[in-house]
Amino acid sequence: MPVPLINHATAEPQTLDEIRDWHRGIVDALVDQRTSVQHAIRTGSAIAWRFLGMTEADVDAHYDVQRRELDRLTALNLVASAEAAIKVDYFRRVGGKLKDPLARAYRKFHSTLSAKKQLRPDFDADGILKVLKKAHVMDNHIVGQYRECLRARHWLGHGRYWEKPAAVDLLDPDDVYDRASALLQALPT
Amino acid sequence: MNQNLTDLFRKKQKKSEADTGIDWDSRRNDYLAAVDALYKKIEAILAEPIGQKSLTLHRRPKSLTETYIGTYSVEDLVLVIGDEQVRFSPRGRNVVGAAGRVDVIGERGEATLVLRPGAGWEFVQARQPALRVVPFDESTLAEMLEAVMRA
Repeated sequence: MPVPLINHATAEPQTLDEIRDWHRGIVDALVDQRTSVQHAIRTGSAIAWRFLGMTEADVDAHYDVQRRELDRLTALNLVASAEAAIKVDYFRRVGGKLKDPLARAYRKFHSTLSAKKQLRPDFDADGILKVLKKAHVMDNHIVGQYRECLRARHWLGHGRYWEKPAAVDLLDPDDVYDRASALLQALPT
Repeated sequence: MNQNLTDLFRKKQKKSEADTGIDWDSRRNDYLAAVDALYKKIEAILAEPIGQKSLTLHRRPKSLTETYIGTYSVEDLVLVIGDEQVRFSPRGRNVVGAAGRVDVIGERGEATLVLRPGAGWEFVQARQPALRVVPFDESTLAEMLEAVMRA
């Protein structure tokens, strides 16, 4: 059964921990910069021109937006990272002819796909996650918790042009990290 | 209150007083004087149309509240031109990179004046692609009014 080449030389997969560390670093930088701009209001010290004329409330609103955007992009990145890890695991089980129940379920599903779909199988409702859930190799609640992140991920990743899913504002990066991490850790070895 | 909290607040207050030593009352008073000077300058620029009764001006009191300064009284300056109004509205002394700000609010848009130390009132002409700030005078007043008033 054809499977796409994985582990490309130019691939740059990120782990969930790498993304979380990056997020924390940028949060620290935002906190430092907000403090520095607020300090400039009191002391009159030099600051980037783009902040000229901002009141304290303006500065707070500006950094609230920056933080919200950072959290959203981090959540997108976390969900995508887990999606990539699950797909790599899927192709490893399908292509490697492993004998475990999940590999068998994946191969059975894979054999039903067109040649085109075998290279890019669906991921969510009618795809890999559905097979993962039906294989009963982990608590289905874990799969469900991760799937709740996907609507937000699609909205963010495809230009936000349709009605915002509630999950976008309900899930912060820590929630998404926990859900994605729980899913990856529950995958059978 | 918990003694640790009391000690923390006292320590922070002492450090703040030692670090800044800012006279907030003086800053507020300087800002209010600059706002008054701005309004007088506008009244002088518009003296002729005011005399011809093609526009009227009036001041409207309001209060502003700012961190460190507290609540104080200031005035909006309202220009009534035909059936349209433009309001000069002080936003506060404590702003980034300036010693005060006045917003100019029309029926089509808004503009910003900032008080730059040593330069006086300046009109923020553009923020994109780069910030452009020009001195506030008769020609920039005209430009500003055209930008905020209905076409």
